[in-house]
Amino acid sequence: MAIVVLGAFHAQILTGVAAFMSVPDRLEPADVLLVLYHEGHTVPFAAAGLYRRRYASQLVLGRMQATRLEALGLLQPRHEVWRKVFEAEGVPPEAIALIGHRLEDDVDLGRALAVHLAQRAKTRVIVVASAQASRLSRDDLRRGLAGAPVELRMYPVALREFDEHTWWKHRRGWLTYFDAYYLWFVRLLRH
Amino acid sequence: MNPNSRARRRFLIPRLRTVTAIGLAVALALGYIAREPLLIRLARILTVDDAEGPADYLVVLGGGAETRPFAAAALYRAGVAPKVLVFEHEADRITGLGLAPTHDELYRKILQIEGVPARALDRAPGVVRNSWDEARALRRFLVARPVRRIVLVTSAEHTRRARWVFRKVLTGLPVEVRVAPARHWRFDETNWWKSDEGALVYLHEYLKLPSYWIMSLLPLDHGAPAPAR
Repeated sequence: MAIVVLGAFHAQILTGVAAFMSVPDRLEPADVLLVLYHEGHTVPFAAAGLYRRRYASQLVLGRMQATRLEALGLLQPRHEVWRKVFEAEGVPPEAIALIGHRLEDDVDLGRALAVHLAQRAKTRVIVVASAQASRLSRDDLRRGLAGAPVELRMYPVALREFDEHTWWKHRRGWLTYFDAYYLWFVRLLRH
Repeated sequence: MNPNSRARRRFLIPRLRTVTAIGLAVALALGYIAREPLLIRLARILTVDDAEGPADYLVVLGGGAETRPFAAAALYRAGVAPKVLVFEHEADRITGLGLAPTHDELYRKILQIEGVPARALDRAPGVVRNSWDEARALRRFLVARPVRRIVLVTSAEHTRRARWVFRKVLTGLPVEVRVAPARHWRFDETNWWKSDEGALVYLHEYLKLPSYWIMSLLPLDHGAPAPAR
């Protein structure tokens, strides 16, 4: 009986499994777009698209701790690469803001965002993130914001190859959601 | 069932359940108390270090630019081998836009900055995606060359699987495969579970080990010649 139910409703069940990790909020105009360094194939392009559709007048990127290769000058810092992607996608340089210094993770980024928005009263921020990482990132950003009057609106971006409704048909889909649940569990144990 | 055995069952089953529950609780408690040594042991099982010179080639596997080419350059400077071999990996969209160097370019730059001259660098033929591809490309590279010993340079947790895959694919060639671990920058065997990256890397390796072993049993072309009958 259980097998028949699982077979009949497998698409709905598996979509629900992916939907738990993806936390979309209603898309409304905001003060800034915070762009997370997730999937380079999709996230910066989706963020530039939101800017062009006038959902916010500023794109915000964190200055992360330099990797060994960035420190040696062999790779450009991520914020520089993504800034160039934004500019190639039609975002003017003055609409791109860099926040923080040597940030380690999304908690640090949340703190830097609170500082960046400290001069404003209540603010709304659209967070552009990969779908499977949006729940984990939202939790970390909220911890970093620590009660600052910032309303986060998550904008999860599907990967190029699959989305919540098709992920189980792709090998990478299984790996992606397996990793997302594993990290979620590991973080539960750590905290 | 006679009344005696029924009474014995009634006596034994609840006690067995209690003993099992206590046993599980004790095992969990011990596991928790000894979690650090257990997790360290789990990581150390994956690391193999049998690099020994003189070898003909240091073969730097792809996917770990932060560590692997640096470790290979250190081995080159120590005189373990006179040549370093790299692979070309598939390019991504950022590389396609010209915003980041290709895998091959990046490895070459690191190796040269770290003291490996351009004349000591070789590239295996073709574009690769994973360890099987790299092993096949290496086989094609080695077929016409009189190479006796190579040292694979890869991330510590990947050494055991890499040595196994390369030995399997290079079966039939007169080449000895050794491995050297490249240590991660932010974690090692003693603290990997404290970072997301470390937790993922070691989990993936423990999942890939059996999956590669199963794949090796399937009748797929892994690049090795058919075993002699």
